[in-house]
Amino acid sequence: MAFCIVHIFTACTNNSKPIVLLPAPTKNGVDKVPPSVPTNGTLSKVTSLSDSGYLRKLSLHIRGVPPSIFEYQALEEAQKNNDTALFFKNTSQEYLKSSYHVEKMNNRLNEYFRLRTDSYYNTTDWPVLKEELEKDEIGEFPYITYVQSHLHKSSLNHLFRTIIRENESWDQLLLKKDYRIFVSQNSSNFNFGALEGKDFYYSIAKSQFPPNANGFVNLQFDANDARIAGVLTTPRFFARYPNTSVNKNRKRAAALFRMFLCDSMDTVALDASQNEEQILKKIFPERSSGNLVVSKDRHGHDAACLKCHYKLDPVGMTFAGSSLSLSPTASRGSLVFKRLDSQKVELPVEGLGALAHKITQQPEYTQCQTQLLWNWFIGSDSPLSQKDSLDLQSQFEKDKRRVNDFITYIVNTPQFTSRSPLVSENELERKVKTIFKRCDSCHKEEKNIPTFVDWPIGGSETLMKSYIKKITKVLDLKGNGNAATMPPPQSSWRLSKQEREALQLWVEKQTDSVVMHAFKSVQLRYLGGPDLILTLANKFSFWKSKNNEGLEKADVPSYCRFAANETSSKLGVSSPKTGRPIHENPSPSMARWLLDCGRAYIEADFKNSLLTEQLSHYFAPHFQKQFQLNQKEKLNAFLNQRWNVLTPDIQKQMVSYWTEYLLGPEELLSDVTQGQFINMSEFSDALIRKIPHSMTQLNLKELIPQILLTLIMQDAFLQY
Amino acid sequence: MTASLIFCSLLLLLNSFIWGQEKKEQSADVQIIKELGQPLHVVWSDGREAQLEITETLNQRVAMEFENFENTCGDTISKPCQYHVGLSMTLFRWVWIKYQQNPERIGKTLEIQFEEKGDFNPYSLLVQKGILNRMNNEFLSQNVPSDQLICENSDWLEPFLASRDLTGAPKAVFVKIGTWSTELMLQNPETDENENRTIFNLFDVHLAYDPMSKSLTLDRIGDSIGVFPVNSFIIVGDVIQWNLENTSSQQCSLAFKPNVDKLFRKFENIATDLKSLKSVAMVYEGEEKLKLINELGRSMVDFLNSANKPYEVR
Repeated sequence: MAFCIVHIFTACTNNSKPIVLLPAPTKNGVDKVPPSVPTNGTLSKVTSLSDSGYLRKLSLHIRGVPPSIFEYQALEEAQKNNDTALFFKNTSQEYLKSSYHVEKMNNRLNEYFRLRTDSYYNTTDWPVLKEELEKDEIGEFPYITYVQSHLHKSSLNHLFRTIIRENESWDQLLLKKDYRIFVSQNSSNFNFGALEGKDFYYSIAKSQFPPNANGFVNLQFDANDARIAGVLTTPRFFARYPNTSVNKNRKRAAALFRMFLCDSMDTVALDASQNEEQILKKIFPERSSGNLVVSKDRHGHDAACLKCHYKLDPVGMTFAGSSLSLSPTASRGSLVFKRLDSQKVELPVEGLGALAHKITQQPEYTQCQTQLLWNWFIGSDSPLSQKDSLDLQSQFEKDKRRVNDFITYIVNTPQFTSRSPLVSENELERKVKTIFKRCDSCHKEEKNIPTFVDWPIGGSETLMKSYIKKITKVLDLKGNGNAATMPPPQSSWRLSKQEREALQLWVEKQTDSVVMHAFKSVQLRYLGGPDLILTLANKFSFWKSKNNEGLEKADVPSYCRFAANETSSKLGVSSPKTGRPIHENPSPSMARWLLDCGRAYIEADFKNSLLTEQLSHYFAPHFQKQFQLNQKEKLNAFLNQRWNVLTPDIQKQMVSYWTEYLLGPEELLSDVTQGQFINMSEFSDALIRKIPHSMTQLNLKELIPQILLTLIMQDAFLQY
Repeated sequence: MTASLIFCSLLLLLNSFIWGQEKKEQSADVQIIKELGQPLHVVWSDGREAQLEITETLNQRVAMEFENFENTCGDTISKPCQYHVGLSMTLFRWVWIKYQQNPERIGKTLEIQFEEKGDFNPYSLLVQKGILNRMNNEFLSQNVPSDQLICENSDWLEPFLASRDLTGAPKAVFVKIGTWSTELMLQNPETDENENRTIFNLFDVHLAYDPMSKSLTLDRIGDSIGVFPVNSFIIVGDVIQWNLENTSSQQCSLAFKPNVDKLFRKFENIATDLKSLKSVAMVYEGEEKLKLINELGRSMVDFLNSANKPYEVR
């Protein structure tokens, strides 16, 4: 859910301290913010995180939100008692048991399965269901209570949540045989194109649905039922990966290979000299002169098709008869693929359930799934050596593949407990590698073509030079691209103008001396998607409005409550179509979202007098003598004070307070500002100095929101 | 593509019926008056009043090409096939019986005029026999002709005929289709991409074989499921797929491409014919009839309630 950007609001550069006070920010102003700043490509020193830094990282990775101020206080207490080890042990377990963690993992899995990650509908039409969800699904998680959608109320998401909440084996994603089916007499899936659960399971579990069922029905299938295979046999999975008579379940088979065996099965590079009809014949071998006729042998003879079809079709067969809903009978098929050493694996299976079981027994599955969890908690950009990978797999087995146990192991590895080495790869090389990854995905099974992302390409400087020459030619980098033979004409991918320019510039730089270093790109994670919304909502707790009627009555616009819709610019989420982040880099629209919505959250909180109550609570001891803040009238009088009448000491105390509230305690400051500030006093001074003179005339009611907004725009707030 | 467009517009037409049950029967402007044995009335707050009327029902079969392009257990059907869709069309309309503001409108059909699109004249109903859903109200569907499939060459049928008499000759035989799937170009609910998707399945569909005419007649449909709450037309789609077992117990798949454009052109013609027919008041009585009348009444109110564009009822 994190998205990777460098310096969203970069009025700060390497040379200036990252304090940005945006005086009365305007939309136009944000658009002028320059995008990410390329770094100099040097690796910074790897250091251990401070205790607060570790707590913050733990909380953000496991729960998607930073720790509360009370949790930092508890840590401080533990530090005093030399109990930090126990504190972290208990805290990580608490986090792993929280509904936030369940929902964070649910969102991660949604993205991995290329499903929508956000909600569009509330639960007003589903009162019974809402009640059940609040009890069983939601726990203390507030966000989803109000923005549950039909998509989230799916058997698939229930299965995700159950596995995480109950710390079940990761294999249960494929092996689970029990489902919760949400049923509502008043509902319709007209808008969703997916079958309702009761229709989906109708042919195999008709008797288990009581007439007039409303709410949910739990279905239980036999442990050996060959028709049932965890997430694969859920309506949402079928709707996301539909089948047609021509497709023959290949889409589903490909998704299965991608998600569980890390075989992306991307489009093969077909010979561009072939005409369209020949290409079509390779892709759809039944097709002939506009009419489809069955030709049983083409898949087995055409090398280009064979690369994928020898794997896809036998797996696709296990879905046979289940185009829209589950077939009453299991369909035979096989799990077929090649190991890295080219050994062909061919395992006949009686049905989907058996197929799923076979998959979980493959070493490729273990390697893929442990890498996935590593990527989520450490980062796909952090290299995993072969030895580390084997250790990881061994631990996965030791933990009996139980998901939260394994996460506990990962968050205690040195790679997690240290501060991430900061940006090491220059922007150009990162862009080029992103392009080359797409080349790799097509060419990966061609043994005579090396991967283009491991430099030097081919393993030596000479070979790299030779490949650069070839790349230049096939992409027509010296020309305008018209003579390019790659990507092939039938590919849906075309080099964009920016991609072409990046490649041209990179090639130009390689001419004198080939860069031999295999740069490690460490991406910075920024809060995004529902995490960012949750974090803002937690800090500015507007939904605890006094009438306790929830978000519907709050003053925060809906686009500030939904991460993945158009108006929120699909904030830091992946595209369900491609699985890639919608925004690879910071975009003005995302910056605008943060500015507008940050302000909306703060204002909503102010309107509900929640911040002022907190002021009363936290500042009373500080200002009691001067303002007697125990009385509300006095508090209002305080808020009406102009900033410039406060003593510098009080100004500093206030800024320090809000900084600590939003960014964390002083100990963390060095971590979150990358060592540029080591104490609160220095940070507060810097921020106060940045307040424009004209704004010092404002009263506190007007200025505090500006300060808060400034703080939430900091990398230190957004980054982890 | 055309099929999907037409299909969706049909759904829009039917949509008001679909949602009718769950919504209020009364809006600020209009009230439904139901009296047993009397025509169904709607009364506007300004005193205008309309009653529901029904025309004669037109029953007929409409033929369209039904091209087989896949047979996983043998050759595709080499000669053309025609699918004859059984149709029943009835026009319902609201007719003004009180209109103080403009007495000339009395006896005329109620029209809802939107600022931004053409007039709306509810409703005509299209019914195809066999699918059990709310639109297939028995009151309407009792005389709908059954669908038929007639192919110039019937050799392909041989492996699928379910029974034979003692001499080995086909007797009252059926082609038993385990799953009948219909595909249509629709948006993926997760990716928003348009793609061909299966929209509904019919299970245990029996087609009765007549050796004389070598035709198959739709005889039975078991259960049905679909992503749309209602679908009256089992052949409206870009691709129709049958999954069935042959006499060697082999699971086979046959895929067809129906020419629905022709079908929809015919619908339009029939709808035009219906408009010229005389209509009579629809009396509020009879179980099946009541169900239908209630839905029509609700849908009218619901339509007005849900209209999000300015309109004029005249």
